[in-house]
Amino acid sequence: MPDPDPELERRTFVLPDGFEVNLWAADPLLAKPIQMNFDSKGRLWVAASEVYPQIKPGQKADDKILILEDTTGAGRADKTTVFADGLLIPTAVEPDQHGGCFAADSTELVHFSGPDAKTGKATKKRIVLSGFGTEDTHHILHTFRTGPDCNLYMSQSIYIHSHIETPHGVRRLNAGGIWQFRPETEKLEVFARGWVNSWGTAWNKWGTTFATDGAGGEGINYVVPGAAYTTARDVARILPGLNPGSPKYCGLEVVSGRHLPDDWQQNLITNDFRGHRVCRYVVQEDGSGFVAKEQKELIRSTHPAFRPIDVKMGPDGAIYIADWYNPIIQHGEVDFRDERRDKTHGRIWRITAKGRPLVPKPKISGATVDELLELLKAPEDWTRSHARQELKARGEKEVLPKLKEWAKKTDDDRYKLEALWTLQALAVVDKEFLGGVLKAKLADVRASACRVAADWVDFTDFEGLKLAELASDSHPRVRLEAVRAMARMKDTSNAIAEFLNKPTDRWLDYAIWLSLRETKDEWLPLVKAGKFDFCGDPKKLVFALQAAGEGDVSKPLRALVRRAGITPAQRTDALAALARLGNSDDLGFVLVDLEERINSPTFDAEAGVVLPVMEAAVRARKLPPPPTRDGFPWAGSLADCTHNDPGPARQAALRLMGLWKQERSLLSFEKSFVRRKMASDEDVRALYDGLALAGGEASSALVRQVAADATSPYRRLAVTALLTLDAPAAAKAAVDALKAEKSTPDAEPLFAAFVGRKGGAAELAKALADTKLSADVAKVGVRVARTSAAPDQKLIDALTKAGGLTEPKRMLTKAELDQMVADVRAKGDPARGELVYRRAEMNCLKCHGVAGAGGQVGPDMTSIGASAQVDYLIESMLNPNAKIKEGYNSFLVNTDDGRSFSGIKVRETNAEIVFRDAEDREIIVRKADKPEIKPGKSLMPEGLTDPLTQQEFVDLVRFLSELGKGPYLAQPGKVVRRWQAVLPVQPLFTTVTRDRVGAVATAKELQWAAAYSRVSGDLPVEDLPKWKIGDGPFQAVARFDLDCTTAGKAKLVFGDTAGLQLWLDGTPLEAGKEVTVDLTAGVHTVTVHVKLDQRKAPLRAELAEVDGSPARVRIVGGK
Amino acid sequence: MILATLAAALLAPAADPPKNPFEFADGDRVVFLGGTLIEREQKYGYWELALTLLNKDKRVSFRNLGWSGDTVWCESRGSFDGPKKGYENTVALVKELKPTVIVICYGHVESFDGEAGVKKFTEGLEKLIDGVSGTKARVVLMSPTPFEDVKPTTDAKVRNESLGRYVTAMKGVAEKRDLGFVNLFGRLTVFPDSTPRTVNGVHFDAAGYARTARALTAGDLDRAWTGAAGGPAADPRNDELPRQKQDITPELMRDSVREKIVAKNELFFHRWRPQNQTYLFGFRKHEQGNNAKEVAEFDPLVEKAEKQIAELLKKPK
Repeated sequence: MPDPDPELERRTFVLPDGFEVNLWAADPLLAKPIQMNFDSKGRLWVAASEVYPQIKPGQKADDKILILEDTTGAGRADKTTVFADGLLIPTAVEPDQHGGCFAADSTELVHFSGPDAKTGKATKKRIVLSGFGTEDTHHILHTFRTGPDCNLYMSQSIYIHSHIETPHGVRRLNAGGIWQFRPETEKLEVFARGWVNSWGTAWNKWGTTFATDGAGGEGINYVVPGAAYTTARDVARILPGLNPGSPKYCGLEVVSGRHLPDDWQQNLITNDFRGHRVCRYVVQEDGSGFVAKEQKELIRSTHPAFRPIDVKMGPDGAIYIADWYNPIIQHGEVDFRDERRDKTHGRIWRITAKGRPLVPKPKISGATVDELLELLKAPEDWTRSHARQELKARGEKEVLPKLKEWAKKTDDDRYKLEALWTLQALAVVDKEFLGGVLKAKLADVRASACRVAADWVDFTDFEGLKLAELASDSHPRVRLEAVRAMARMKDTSNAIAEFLNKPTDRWLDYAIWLSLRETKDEWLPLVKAGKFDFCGDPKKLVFALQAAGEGDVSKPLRALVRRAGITPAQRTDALAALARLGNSDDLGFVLVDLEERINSPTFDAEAGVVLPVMEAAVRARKLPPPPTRDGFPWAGSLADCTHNDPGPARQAALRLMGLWKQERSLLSFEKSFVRRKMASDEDVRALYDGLALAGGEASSALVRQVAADATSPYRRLAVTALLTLDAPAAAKAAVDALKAEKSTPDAEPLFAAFVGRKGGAAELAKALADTKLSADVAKVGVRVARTSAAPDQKLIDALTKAGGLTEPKRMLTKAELDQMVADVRAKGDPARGELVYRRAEMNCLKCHGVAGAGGQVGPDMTSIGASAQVDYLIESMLNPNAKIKEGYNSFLVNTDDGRSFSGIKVRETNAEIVFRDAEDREIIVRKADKPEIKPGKSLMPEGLTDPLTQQEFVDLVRFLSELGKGPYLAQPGKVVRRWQAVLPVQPLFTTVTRDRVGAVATAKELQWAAAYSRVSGDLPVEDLPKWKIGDGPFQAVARFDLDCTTAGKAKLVFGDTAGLQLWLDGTPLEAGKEVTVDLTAGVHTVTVHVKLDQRKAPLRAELAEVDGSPARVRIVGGK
Repeated sequence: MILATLAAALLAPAADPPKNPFEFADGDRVVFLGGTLIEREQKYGYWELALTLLNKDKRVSFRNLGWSGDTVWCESRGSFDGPKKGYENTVALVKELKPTVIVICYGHVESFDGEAGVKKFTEGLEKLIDGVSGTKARVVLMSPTPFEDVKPTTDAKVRNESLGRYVTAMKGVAEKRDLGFVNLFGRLTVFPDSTPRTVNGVHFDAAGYARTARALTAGDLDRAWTGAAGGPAADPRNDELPRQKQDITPELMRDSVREKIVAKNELFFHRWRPQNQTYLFGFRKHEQGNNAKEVAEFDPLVEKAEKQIAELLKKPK
């Protein structure tokens, strides 16, 4: 346990030059602060809990709302008032303008008021809302903030199920999200949702909303009203955060005011509470959205108990940080009653800029209305927000005449927006004034005015405001806010689609999609009846129908496909929409239509889009084959679709044949193409999938024949296919194949096939009796068996016996664990541990990314060392089921068609559930098929570390325990971490010898594998797959992607370029330390050729900005 | 407001027969099921106090299972698993509590669905009654309270028109099954008050519960309130936070009984609706399930609080 002296803690803080930090308040003035907000008098209100994480029987729930004050102006608090006590884990407080406050008290939103003159303690308590869920005490009602509209915004997190009765009806939210609440009207709505644990909400000076997630890894989130984010289950589309691969962030504030330097204005501050860091982001516009760029930290510390969890601007223009002060965070993994939990400490830190004057504390309480109106011009967001709140409290009668006069006197768009917000706060609907602000010169102001319009929809009609005209606004974010407002109005469907006239981007496209979806009850019946088709614009019709996501739309779509003058791209979209949404007859129509163009050069491209969509639709909706009738030759059309080149169209067609039992077509393909070697490996895989699905006599005969044929290259595929037809026979054939197997990579998919089939593992176990396998093959089998959420112990036993393996020990005694923790600290070497982590056969990176590079099956490891205790790391690796991170609990799913898989839930709608399996694949299960879904264990198999020596294990743990700290802190900035390297398999050699090495940059059919940089950002060249041509030197090729959302120049910094050749999308780049590239919007690939005889230094590439360039570019991460 | 309530009164079903279903037998264990109206009662305790005093020689105990936003379909009670599981859990929990009387009070939430929702409400109510019938407990149906034109509610007339249909449906079920029926909607509509009872047109604060406790017990009311005339209905302190204890006077004794009731309810709340369910009993119980044993430790604390209530009731007035 660290020494709790605040000064010792302060000395560990590293700040940027020109900044300093002082202790503003510490225990015993407060303990365990969770959330804080200033009132208009400059007093700091703190919600504090010593009961967290769980009340003990017999313990009195006596948590507190505290008021901290600096009464002497000394720059530190000297007085605490206990405003309220008797609360149960209060996780939020927001003071009002009358000396009272709202507080989150377990299941309730309560209001305290009437402070006693002597003690300052509240004398009245009112329950405002009740029914908030409490399934997890760091998810319960939290993060109170007052928005620009003076509404109270509140968050809840993913495990919470809330059921709130309001005078306007019940409101439910069974998910994470941000509530919007207006206390006077008790109007409660969900503002946006879908985060894991969103403990940060803030508005910039224009009223644009941002959020952070204390358990999600996407950094800053730009919040579109009504949108759904990372974990939302019941929606078809979600929005991402701005910084995938970030650590978890708690708290959020926008920097503003004269005390801080110009280049800090409107920056975002948030807390990496696990990594002991206070972080800063610069936010820049990017089309209708934003990019957020991390800067050097505001505070970096190595103090194990420094837990920054909230951040607020103060009345003096300084930045205040709430430090929860605890060596142990949260309560999922670490026992509720762990004695290391701190219950008594807590700090508030204040960060100021050296040599810059503080902002004089504004007079708000007791100011005249005229004075308050002048404060709406203040440069500090803090002052303007509190002046607005005070004006609201003074009421319409006192304020409105003066406000109108004040607004008339100004031409400044910014002040007009302030006046509009004040009207909104006062609940005075002024359509004419709003109309004026909607025409403001500043785009930010027009965008915010749209949000006010949306809020006023219930109170006035909006004809005359002409919001629809904003579809042609020059600024995409105005269009975005306008289209979201349109969704609240009546009869707007055609007007909403007008927003597709101008170019869209990710955010705007989503906003239009969401608005059309929300209004579908208005327009979809008309479209289905053939009465309305979005003015004949195919793009709009297809977009709208996909947004609605409902069937029975064959009439308008068929008409569209047959319309004269439709472009090939529009027809592809229309056919794909029909394939996705239509019935069996529609699908037959699509096939016949496709076939008409089978000799066209665009056929592969068109069918390559449409047929996979059709296959997915048939699988997801279990659509029977199209009806057979005269003049409807769909079956022949489908067969013809396999006659062109290998590719996705052909493969989807083969599987469709299987789904629709077109056995003869399948066999004919086998004869004409496979036997003549005119099919790719993927084609053959699709054929065998098709045969298994078809399952007729002739298919079975072929599958059995190949499964028994030791010389066939397709034996494994045939065994897998046989598994669905005759599991015992398949198991026997598999064991025969495995006995001969020496190379483990070939064995893995075979085992996976059996584990992925209901009852498959048991059959294989039976067939393995009295068999000997090579130890390596058996090990692979055990590993695959353990990837199941409910591993089949009989199979593991059978494999263990067949391979002569021994079961290693994975349960440590307390003494052994203590010894291991000591060994990690004393003997562990993080550098060696990183090498172990990166070993391909360890599979760590396959599932756990670092700083956004790597798989996403398991939690990102970026700052694991800064939050997890060593004993926890050891236990989690030896026994992955001991503690499972929120959002990563798995399910074992058995489907009605005999598949069996393990996965975590990604999304869920009324009709289907989407899972992600251990291979990072999304699998869709229809609820109508009544799948068996059982809670499973961790997706991380046991025994992953079995092959390691004791020292290697200790090194690995040490590496993990250092992640997020010191040299193992993944530095912010734009270094490429996720590369792909070309694999030395055909057609690589043909490509290089026939053309030249540069052809690798554009060749289509090459195989690539992921290669990840080390935490430092370097990618060792010896980690790349190497190859050579003839007797030439060894070489390698790696590439990475850049996602450019606003076009312009950017810089790539390579440092040392010895032995490198570069291409951008196939065009050679002059290799240099810094290369400037001019990027158009879209994804670009940078390819790097490495001559390994000339280069030993690691690869490293960083993305930098070019001064004055508007470019917004992001390095693509992921697996 | 009075006009609105009078209009609603015309629609409201006639007052129920005089027999008070809240006259309990010795040793009765009463379970309350309902939404926000029932859930918040446990925080103030006036209704439970009234029923306690009315039955004070009979060792009656109360378990409040109100859950905000709930409906006859147990829509608030499913947590991760949805209403169907919520229903099953609720039925199981009620059985576990071994009640002899079950008071079911729903309709506020459902009434927003208007006339179209009445059928579904009736079905759900019957299903819920069927579910708990295995306990052999006496089921009492209690109607919700009427809406009032108290800001932000401005459409009490429309709301009550709708709610009245649900109350009629509830009464129908009570008659069909020969169950006790307490028509709070009808009683409070027929006897409007000069000042509003609710804080927002639908929900009560402490004073609201205190002033409507009379309506629960109808004609037996004065027997229940043994204090000074007017009882707590006129007490302006009801929304104040607990203050320093003063000398026990007959009037304050009532308050101390009520305080104990509220304390008992809080302990029981920690027992049946504990925080961190996900870790204690849910899909992450592999992490903190070892702490679930603590939750059962609230049982003796609830019993102890009930003994204290019984002691207070024995004291001379």
